[in-house]
Amino acid sequence: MHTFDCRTILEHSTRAIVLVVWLLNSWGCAFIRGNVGDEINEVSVANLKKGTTTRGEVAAMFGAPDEILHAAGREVFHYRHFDGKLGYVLIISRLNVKSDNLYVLFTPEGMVHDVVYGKRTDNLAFQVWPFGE
Amino acid sequence: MTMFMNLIAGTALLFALSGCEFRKVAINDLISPQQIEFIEVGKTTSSEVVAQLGAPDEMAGAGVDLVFRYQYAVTKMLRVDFGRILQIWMPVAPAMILSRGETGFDAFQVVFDPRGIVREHAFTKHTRSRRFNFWPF
Repeated sequence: MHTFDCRTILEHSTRAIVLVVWLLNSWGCAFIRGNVGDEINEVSVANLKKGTTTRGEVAAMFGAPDEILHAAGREVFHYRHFDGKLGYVLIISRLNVKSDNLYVLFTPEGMVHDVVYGKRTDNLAFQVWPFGE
Repeated sequence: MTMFMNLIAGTALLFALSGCEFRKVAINDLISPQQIEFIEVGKTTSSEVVAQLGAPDEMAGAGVDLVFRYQYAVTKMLRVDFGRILQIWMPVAPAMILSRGETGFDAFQVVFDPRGIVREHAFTKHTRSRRFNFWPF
């Protein structure tokens, strides 16, 4: 009886594996990654000194900004980097997108007034389950 | 006979499922009310907000005040191709697709006074009501 149970389990397992392989082969799976913009160099961010670093030096370090804002009477350079990871299996898929942002606020004299930097892409995960949060 | 019927039903179910697609697109992480409990109007600084929540997705000015906006977006899409079921009997099946996508945006906005202290903050929530639904009519 025990032998029969083991054989039954083995048969069911084999069928399940064959079915999964067939499903994957029929409809497939994919893991795709995409980036927009260059990664923001954290060492360069640490080198930005308030009241010392000039607008020209910021542009030399990071290149031209993706966007120039004017907020609360200050000029702001905005740098962005997007990372996206798509997981697709059979009939379900999920695309997660996150961004790193660097804002450099300048004084009217063109010196760095403040730096706001955040990195979200380092905890971006491949996921396929689309349900729930 | 029962096994044959099970095989037919299983195959039909697989083909029916093969015609479904559940897709979700999430941009950024959802900010919960618990995550912003540390913010006290008139006390918390912009540096403390950035340390906890990271850099905002958007920065803007409102008069002399500075506004940070954190955004979260989600799209849920369900697509059902009823034509896939016909592939059991027909070599070429027509596409009979019903599909719908729903997108919602959440935003958390913080306003700082010229000293960099939180003046006010607010949530906008539109993603909770998003759901998978293939009915386009």
